Amino acid sequence: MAAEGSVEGRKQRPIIEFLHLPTVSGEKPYLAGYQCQACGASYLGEGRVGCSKCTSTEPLQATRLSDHGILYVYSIVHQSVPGVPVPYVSAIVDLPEGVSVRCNLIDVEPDPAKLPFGMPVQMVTCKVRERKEKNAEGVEETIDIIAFFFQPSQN
Amino acid sequence: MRDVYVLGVGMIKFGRYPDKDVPQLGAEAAVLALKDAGLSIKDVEMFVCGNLFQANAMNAQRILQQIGQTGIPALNVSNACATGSTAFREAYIGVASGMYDVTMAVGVEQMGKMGLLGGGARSGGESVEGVLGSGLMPAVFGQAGVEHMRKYGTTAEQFAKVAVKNHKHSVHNPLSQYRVEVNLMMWLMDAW
Repeated sequence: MAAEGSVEGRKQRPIIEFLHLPTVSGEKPYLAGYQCQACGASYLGEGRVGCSKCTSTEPLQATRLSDHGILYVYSIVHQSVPGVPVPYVSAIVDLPEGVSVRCNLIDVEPDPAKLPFGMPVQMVTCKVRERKEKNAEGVEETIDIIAFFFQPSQN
Repeated sequence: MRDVYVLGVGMIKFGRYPDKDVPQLGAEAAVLALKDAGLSIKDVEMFVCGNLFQANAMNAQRILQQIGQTGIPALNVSNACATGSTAFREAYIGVASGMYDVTMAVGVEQMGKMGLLGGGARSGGESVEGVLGSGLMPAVFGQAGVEHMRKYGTTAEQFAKVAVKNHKHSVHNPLSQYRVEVNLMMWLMDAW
């Protein structure tokens, strides 16, 4: 299970393990990366056995990926599974480390004319749902499930 | 490596077949291919079946159970969209290598109504579909199409023309699942 964060008393859990949430307020959430020490190639998420680019099997280094990138490509989704609001923009964002991230692109119109390739984007996080679970003492608590999104940015 | 010849092929009509299972459909196609080649299953020295969604169901063995259990090696392969060609490649290598003279490959898939493949994607119990982008095949391949647009300037109209052309072919193919023509305007209005 992904590492849990906690801000102002509310328990938070990232929707996916490579999203790292702050444990004290003032910290920023980030996407976890893993960097090859031999060639410098970066990957999304931790826990790789080796580097598939240069084939080094030396231990990789955990890093923080940038929260700014550019829009590589997208798909405007008009039909989905029940419970997913449409239309929305599913996008591939390229980060400066050479890592590609699939995400929802928000605060944009789902219109190709408004989605120029290479558009600068930035990461934001927000709560997408809640889970009610019993903690170790058997007391029910609410956990906010946090996801990351990308939105257009000025730079 | 030796030269390899395709002696016979067989195909059944594309469809959902709710009343049949994977080995049944594969067996029907296999029998057609044997007929086309003028061979019997007794001539086949190795059999390989490609299937993805029921890949653990021992389909090669179950097809032979229907058309002839002759004691030959039976192989099952799974390789995403390349599953059928992987089955063919294994059969090819069997003959090219000189190990066998006659081999047979079958590709068979029953999709049911799982048209939006990948919709069940979860991470640690949390569904990410539609939150962290889409892993559904229409969206994934849509992105691949948009990448083609980005790299080569391909237009939505050009993609639509491919669909129009393919549907035109389907009308003349009695084994097509959907034998309907579509026109370009219809497709374009839907494309974006």
